[in-house]
Amino acid sequence: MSDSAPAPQLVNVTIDGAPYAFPKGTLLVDAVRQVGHPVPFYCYHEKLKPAGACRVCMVQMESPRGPMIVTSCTTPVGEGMQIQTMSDGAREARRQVLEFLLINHPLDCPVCDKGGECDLQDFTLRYGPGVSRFAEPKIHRMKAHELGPFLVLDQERCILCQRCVRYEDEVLGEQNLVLHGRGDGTVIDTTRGEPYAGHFSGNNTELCPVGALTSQTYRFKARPWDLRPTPSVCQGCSLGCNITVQRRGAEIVRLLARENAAVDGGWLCDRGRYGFGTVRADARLTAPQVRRDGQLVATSWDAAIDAVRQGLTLHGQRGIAVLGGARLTDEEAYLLGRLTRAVLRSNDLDWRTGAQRFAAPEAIGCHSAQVTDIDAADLIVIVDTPVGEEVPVLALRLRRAAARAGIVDIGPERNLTVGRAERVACAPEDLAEAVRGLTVRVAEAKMPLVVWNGSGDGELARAVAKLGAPLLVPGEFANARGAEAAGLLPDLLPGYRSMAEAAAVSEAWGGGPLPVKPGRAAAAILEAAARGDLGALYLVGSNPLGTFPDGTLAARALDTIPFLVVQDLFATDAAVHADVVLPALGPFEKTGHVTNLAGVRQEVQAVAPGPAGARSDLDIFVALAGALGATLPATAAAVASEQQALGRAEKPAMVTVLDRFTSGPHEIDGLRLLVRTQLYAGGGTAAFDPNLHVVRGEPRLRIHSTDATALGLRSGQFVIAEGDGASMRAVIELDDGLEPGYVAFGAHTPGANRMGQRVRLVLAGENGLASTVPVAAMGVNRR
Amino acid sequence: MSRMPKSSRLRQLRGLPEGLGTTLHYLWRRRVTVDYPERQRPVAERFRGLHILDRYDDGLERCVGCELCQAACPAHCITVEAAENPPDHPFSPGERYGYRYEIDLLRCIFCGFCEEACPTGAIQLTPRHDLVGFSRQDFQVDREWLLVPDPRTETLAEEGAR
Ligand code: SF4
Ligand code: SF4
Ligand code: SF4
Ligand code: SF4
Ligand code: FES
Repeated sequence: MSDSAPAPQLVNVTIDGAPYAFPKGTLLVDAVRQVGHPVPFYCYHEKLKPAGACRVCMVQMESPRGPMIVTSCTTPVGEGMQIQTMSDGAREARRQVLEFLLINHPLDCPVCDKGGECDLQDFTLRYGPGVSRFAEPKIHRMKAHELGPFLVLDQERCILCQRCVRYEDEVLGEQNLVLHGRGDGTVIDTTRGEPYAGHFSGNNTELCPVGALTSQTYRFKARPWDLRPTPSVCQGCSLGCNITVQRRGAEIVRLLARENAAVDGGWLCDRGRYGFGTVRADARLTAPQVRRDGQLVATSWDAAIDAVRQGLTLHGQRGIAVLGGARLTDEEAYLLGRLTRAVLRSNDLDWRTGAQRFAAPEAIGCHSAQVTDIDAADLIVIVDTPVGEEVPVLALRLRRAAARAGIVDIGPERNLTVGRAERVACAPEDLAEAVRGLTVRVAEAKMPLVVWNGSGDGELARAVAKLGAPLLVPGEFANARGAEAAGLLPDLLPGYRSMAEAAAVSEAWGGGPLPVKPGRAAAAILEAAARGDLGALYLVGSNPLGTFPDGTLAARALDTIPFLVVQDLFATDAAVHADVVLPALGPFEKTGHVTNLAGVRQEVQAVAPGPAGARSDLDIFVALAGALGATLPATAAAVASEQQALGRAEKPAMVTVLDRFTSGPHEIDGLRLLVRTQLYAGGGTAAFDPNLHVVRGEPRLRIHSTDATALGLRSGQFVIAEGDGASMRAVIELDDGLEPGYVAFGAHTPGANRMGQRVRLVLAGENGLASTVPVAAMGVNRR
Repeated sequence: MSRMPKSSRLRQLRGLPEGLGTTLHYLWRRRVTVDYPERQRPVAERFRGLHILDRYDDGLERCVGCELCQAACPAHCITVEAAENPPDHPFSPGERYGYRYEIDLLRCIFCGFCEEACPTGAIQLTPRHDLVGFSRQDFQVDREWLLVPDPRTETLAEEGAR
């Protein structure tokens, strides 16, 4: 609502004898609760439309025809209304409703995960009858019914409030859960009994007022009174949804949404909600490793840090480069920048180990948009960004906006999978042209907004900047914006300072000359390494083999580099090449700040100690600097105050977005290969998260159904994609959101970025071996 | 050492037959002590002693791991963790059982609140009160210690012995 909106009209209401005034349109249930009178409710929820399904919220209203019992969740306040919340009539009505709700209820409380925080328990205790008159046998329904990878439904406990059904419909627009049957046979289930497939199932467990929908990961883990809450922020993607981490003892048992209207609107995606398994994953690195006689062997921290020092001294004169940092906290990213420039004396530093080229809209000369601008925008342009896979909770906001605003969805596949959008289908190299084509419409819009993940070349960046609309950059790394602001770029110093300001930065860093010649960007670093022009490479929470668009180049670079240090949570495929592996702490294990895609700086809290042998990235940087004879501030707070004191450049410099990827378009049997972000495919942590293991499944190859038919491929069939550089087995998934002529792999699917120019599909036989018939023999040929 | 006055020395002498008199008096009365542990005194019917975790007649455990005993315990000496029953050999009827159950008997005040809170009658206080051990650890009792013998395996064992 803008400031100029007229003050809302007030309506006078008497509640339990006291006069109040509420804005017109307020629902009675809200009015009554606002003034502190408790009223029970099940089906009502602030974020859902009123349904009047459960009838437990009844209050008594005076009317010309005498007292009436009304459901307060469906009745808006009216002038002169007289409401009694605790009259005998209202109390009796609720008592009867509760007695009815319980006639077939299993009263499973001792074995029910909701016990202790269940509205049915609480309201029955407060408003319900003490005993039931119902002596007939209860109706039995499905118990412990696994709806999907994360959701368990107990149909007997369901009170049919339909919060889940309405959430699926109104918030997700997906209708994954629906009502089946009628009368006392009514149950909740997925539409056709298929496994729940959406990305947002977990919100149902918070919406369900009873223990009907519960989480697989929390099943029988704890009681609410065991739990200690810590506010923190999800680091699953660049949105940074606010969460409450609940622990029992030292173990994280569940995450709840902690509403921040400016960021998440109170929802979480399943990756965020359930992706806390990394903390206790068996695969975590627990001790530093050093390569001796060709083998990585576990060693002490002192020995590992010394090995890094020796390696850097030995190979350093041929150049040291640092890649990564977009998954660190702001403080750690800043310290990594200082370590690289002031101690390692190198500007070969880049967080951009994926396809994303920049993080802050200002970095390409745009204005930053706020997440809430989506709610007010009248024209939203989504440029080739699979929002639902990349920043799922932001996609929910876009889906809601789609009902009201015009959405233009540009790219080779449908970016907004739910909701009305105008598609502008175009090939990746024609994106800039398509964006330029929108100039007039954007100029005419009152509140335009562009959503682009920043993966593309300089031409597209210029085209987007030229539109002049506020921009949101939902990138693939959680803290890309923090890393960029901390100066993890070859040609920018902290606070978007150009290299010309090196003197000022050097002063803040305690003197000592800084290298002033701009360094090399990620692609150039990898090329130099592949050529043998680089002595040492330090990967900090990054794995170019999995994320860099040209995986072949990354592979050659890691093969050739004389000295490789990998600092990560897990033994990634990059760690296999390493000379020294440093085990780091990850999300939930560090305190600091992260900056989300809209520039909101939020605090993350350490809630788990992490593996005993691992150290925080901050501690590692400090130790490394110490070994090289330099002193860095040793706490997150000290780093933050130093960074704050340094501040931002008065005139922020822009990020260079010129990289054109040399690898060019890939082709598969005449179909073009796209590598697209896919929620559970991998990245830094999801690939190793045991909680997400169930949803990761086989690598998928998505293809339009007409192409599939032409190639004789069926959904669910296994194929082997054979490229020059790599081959991989994948299961065919028909997806008509993709334009015909394309096939798509999930980014971070091992090998997807290493296939090379020519790829052919081979049917995988029953035994997993390739049959000899290339699919192209039946071939379509396009382009 | 100071010298005592004569009068108090006389009083001391008088004490000897008085004391012997008491001894002789009790020598002929009924004994109140028993030869513990060979013989034991009966305790009150509702005496609250050491805990057991009970089973149903079919041998399934009563405890469902609801943690209500843990919540009720004023001494915070119970730890319960629940788990899903393995479908092929369930520990308790239904979906859930208490897979970890520990009581720190040194902290327990034998109030019996746990017994009162339990919805299934699993945790019970028995008249047993031989609370002995050689280390603190001996008093941290777990599920195996608490569970009453399983009638199913008992019968098998007996049959085997025959
Ligand atoms: S839903 Fe609530 S009332 Fe029903 S069994 Fe679970 S805790 Fe008890
Ligand atoms: S499953 Fe839960 S939210 Fe859905 S209708 Fe039943 S009680 Fe309501
Ligand atoms: S008897 Fe009382 S103090 Fe002892 S375990 Fe039970 S509830 Fe706790
Ligand atoms: S002993 Fe009883 S109260 Fe305690 S966890 Fe087991 S079932 Fe619940
Ligand atoms: S809350 Fe009003 S009818 Fe359900």
